[in-house]
Amino acid sequence: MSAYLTHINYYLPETILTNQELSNQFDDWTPEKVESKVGIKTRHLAAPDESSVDMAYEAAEKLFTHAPALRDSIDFVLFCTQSPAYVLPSSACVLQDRLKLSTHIGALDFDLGCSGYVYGLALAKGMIASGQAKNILLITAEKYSQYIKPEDRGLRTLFGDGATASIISDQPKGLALSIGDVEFGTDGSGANGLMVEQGGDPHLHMDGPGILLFTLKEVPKMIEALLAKSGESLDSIDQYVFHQANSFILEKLRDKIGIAPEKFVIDVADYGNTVSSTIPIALKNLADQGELGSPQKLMLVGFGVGLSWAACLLQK
Amino acid sequence: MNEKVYQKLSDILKMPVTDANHADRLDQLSAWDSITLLEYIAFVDREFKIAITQQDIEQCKTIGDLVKLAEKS
Repeated sequence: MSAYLTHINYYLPETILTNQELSNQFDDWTPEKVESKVGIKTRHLAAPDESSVDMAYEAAEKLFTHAPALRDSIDFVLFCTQSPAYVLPSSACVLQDRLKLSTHIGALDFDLGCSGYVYGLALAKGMIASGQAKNILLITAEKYSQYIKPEDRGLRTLFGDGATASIISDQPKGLALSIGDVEFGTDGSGANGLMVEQGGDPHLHMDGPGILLFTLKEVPKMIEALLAKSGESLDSIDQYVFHQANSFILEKLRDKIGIAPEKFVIDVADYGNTVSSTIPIALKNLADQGELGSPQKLMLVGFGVGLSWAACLLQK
Repeated sequence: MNEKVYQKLSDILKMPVTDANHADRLDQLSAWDSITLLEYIAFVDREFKIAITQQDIEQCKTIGDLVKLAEKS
């Protein structure tokens, strides 16, 4: 039984942090320099009392506003976050109630970052293929800003908050993107690459060089493996939607793998790195721009904290 | 080998770099920042298959230190 990505919507919190504001606070980089180095102009920040569940609620409500019948059809919620509103209970359970979904559904959280959306699609595909669910609400919701030290210019420049809501269904409706083959990767030896401790230092720490080298090493290999597994070639894919970390790493990857610029989506300027939300935000924008017509072969590529990585094909 | 390194450093530091610049302090160079650092790391990894770590970089104070990193084996 096939699984289809049918609907996506997203929510960005109201407060915007501009490059100018960063420059005012940290005078070593001009706004123009920030933009030219990492390709980011603005990032959204959740309000102090706005949680990842609040953002997820807004994203899902936007989705249901455009397609009201979907609400009652949801029979499973997958909630991807690393900044949960509660240690317990699961944010997915809280969201079920906030969204007034049926109580006759499953719901759970899973803890991944930049690879989270692809993992979410893979999990949803499995639930559908095994007949355990028919309409899955996949949420990505992140408030990394709560972990970032105010003095940490680098991380404040790179990361943004936001949430997305997607539906994966056993019916080819809406976007009707069938979820194809998936590749996974995990290397916990790189755990220090991005870390927030529990009970220790509460701040986000990133090992830029470590993350860069891992990404340049593993992502091309994974893409090669996925293409081989699915019988595709680099050229047979119409569009590549990578995790939108920043333009620097994206361009390094594009160049190393040899993907044509016109097939390679870069959509990070207005949001920064929203972690598991970057891929669905980029997909939704592509859809709105009429760039997801038929026929279409897309490759989604997520990589980052864990270290964790995954790639999948979408097709229509 | 050093030719490639000097060429890359000249490119990313936006100034001509030769062995005469070994004592130049990185913190005095306007073009040396967190992204230039990553550019250099990606270059050394690709060209010489040497993985520079955060620790290695923190110990670099001069252009000469950067050049030495590309000689690590």
